[in-house]
Amino acid sequence: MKQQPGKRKPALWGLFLLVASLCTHAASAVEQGPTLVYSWPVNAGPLDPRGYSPNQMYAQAMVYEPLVRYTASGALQPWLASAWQVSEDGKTYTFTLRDGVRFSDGTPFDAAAAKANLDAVLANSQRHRWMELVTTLDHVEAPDRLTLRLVLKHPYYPTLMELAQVRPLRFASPQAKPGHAVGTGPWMRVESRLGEFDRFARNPDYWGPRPAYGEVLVKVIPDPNSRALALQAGELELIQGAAGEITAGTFVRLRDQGFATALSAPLATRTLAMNTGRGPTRDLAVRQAINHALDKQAIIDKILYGLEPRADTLFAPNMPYADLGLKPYAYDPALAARQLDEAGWTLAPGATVRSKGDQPLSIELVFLGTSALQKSLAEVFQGELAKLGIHIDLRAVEDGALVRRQRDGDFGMIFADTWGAPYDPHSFVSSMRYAGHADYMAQRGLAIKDELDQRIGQVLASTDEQQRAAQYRFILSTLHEQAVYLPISYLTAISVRRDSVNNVQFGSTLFDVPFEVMTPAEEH
Amino acid sequence: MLRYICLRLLLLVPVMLAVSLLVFFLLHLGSTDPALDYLRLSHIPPTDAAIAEVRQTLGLDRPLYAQYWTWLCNAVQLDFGISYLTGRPVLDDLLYYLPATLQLGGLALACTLLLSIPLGLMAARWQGRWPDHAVRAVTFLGVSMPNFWLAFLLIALFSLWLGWLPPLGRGGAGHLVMPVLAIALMSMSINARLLRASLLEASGQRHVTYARARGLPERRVWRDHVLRNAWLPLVTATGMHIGELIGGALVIETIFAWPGVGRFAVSAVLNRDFPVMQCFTLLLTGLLMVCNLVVDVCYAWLDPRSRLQGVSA
Repeated sequence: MKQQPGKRKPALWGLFLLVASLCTHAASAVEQGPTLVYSWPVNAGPLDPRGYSPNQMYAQAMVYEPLVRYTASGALQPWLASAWQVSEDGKTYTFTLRDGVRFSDGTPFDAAAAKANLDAVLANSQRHRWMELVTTLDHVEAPDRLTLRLVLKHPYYPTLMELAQVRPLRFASPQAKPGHAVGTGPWMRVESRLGEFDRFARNPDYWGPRPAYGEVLVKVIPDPNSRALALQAGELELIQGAAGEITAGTFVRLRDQGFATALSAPLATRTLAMNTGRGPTRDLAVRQAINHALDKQAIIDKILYGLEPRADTLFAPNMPYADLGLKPYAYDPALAARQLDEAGWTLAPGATVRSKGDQPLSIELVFLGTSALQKSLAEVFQGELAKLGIHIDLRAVEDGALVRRQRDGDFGMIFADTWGAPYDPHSFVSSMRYAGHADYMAQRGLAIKDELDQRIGQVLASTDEQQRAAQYRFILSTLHEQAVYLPISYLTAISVRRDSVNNVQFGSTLFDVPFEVMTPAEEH
Repeated sequence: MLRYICLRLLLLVPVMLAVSLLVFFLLHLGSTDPALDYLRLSHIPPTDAAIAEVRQTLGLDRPLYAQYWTWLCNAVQLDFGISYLTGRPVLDDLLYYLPATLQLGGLALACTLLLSIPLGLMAARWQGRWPDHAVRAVTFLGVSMPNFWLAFLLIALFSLWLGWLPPLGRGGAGHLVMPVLAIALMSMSINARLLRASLLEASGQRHVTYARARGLPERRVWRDHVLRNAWLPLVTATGMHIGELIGGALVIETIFAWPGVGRFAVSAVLNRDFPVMQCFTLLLTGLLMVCNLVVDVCYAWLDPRSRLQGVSA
């Protein structure tokens, strides 16, 4: 296992570059059409359907397709599978594959091809075992050309949700040569120049609606300000994504300059986890007081330019099982002060920080030092909570150190966004059971933690929809009442476009951009 | 002289070794874990199992000295490992991006020399008059202005407002103008000011007064007696500017989406891509040492005094 990927990849890349350059001629011979110019901070990578970094998920989603597709409403839509059935015991999923689908190299997409892909995942399950379905999947059967059967070791309700994810359970042509990205998707990559661009051409054999654009040219632009300038100068037609493609301030500036802009529905939650196992945040009253003490709407308006909806709960109501009507923690500093007083956190005459016995009400807030946004938010929290007599000790750390602190529970409060669709809520809730996750570490001080973990295990194995909804209600209500989190806002994707492109829509997850539905202005 | 050059080249080996050791341990003794970074970049939840798997895959589960020894043994065979970020051999990536940086850096250096020398000469020749004031004003701005800010101003002016130049990317000559200017302006300004000061100092020397007293034409006095002595600080400064130009490229390549080694290195630093950082540091060390050697040789060639000192040493 050691060093294998590293030793294999150079050869794969070399081959890929050769093939990609050869394909340039093939693609130009295939079809012509208008080109949509987009940008991304890095190249798309080798586009292995089961590969992680440096494979970029937006590009994998362009080339490879799932059996079922996750929609913005959280529902699932037939895709490469036209229908499916789940056995009564919840352990067998039988899919009827869509007939007439071909990979972009002409190979038919059938049960044998699908099985070969899933078997490849199982053969390398160590690498993919972060995904619960991979460890739950016992084996795959292909009883006939268009029937695919997944047999699980035990019931696992998010099976379909995980099949919808961008990787590693999508399908590449079994005939594809190493380094050659061949999927069933609407696009195929035809050229890649390191550090400069990736070019995708329309798949002429695509089974679905034909994309209006003939090509998508994705320029490599790492700097957000340069990206905005490129759009203004006409070098780009579209900026879209949820990974900080441009800052909120730049988005507003471009909107004010007349560019067409849009915001997606909530895709994840920007939140702070509070450590129930360490320091003053062990006290429920402190956690609740912090939730009441912050005027989140004012903070969003000032720092996020009002671009993200205020979050009152851990998951946005548009996420599955999350529309529970939980009562928000209203902004009420007086109530927050009263809660702290009643809990014994009092302000001595002349003091600026509350204390209980000899313990000062001082909390370490860990944030990503390279994120201007987190830094601004953290400083505002510090200022606002100081008014209440809560001292916030700001700790700026690097990316890796932030993850390490999350894993070690080395924080009082820490930025810990949810994973977003389609991981929310099931994958995110599932991770709460494992030591090493920020959420587990944040929740470990709760008296009810063991029961919570049991309930999470039950909800994932539940085959009854009503029971599942009831279990989710219990889990999410408990976390809300225990004020383990300080939800700030719901993360959204942004989109800014020039007039030359129309019908811009958002993908249903943080990771996909549906270029295939976009149209050039003159054709719209 | 040949013996001196050979000695300096031999010195490269222990210096590179020391730098590699220092950089390797500094990088690995930090609080960050490359396995966590890899998982974060891959959008994989950092479970214990996932971390263990990545550590094993990247060879991070072995003792630090063993990792260094393996790295060193591979490095002497020019195998600097695989980039965590791109999955490609580090040296292949660096060599792929290097020509673009050399193109940018080479042109910036040429631009620095071609502009700073006439500007410095103008300012010194007409000291206290309008050419001097103009040069000092321009170079004052050039020295004071951060290159990233200048880069954005140039894009705003030439791409957005006038529409004359492409705002980013690599292509024709038009793509080169703004990044080269942004990188070169500071070095050019420093050199021009230095040359001016140096020329004025040299022109006040007694041998120059004597040359004038001998009735030599003013042009010849400047060429043979002033300029010849004023070159030396400029040579030293130019050697130093090579490091600055590469440092400038780190930022400028990112802003102009220039596919060079600087942008690649910035991305590696931001993502703790240790193999790339290690190799890039060594490459930079080697490059700067060679540049310093070239400067020293030029210095000796221009100034017989230092040549004689070197020989006697």
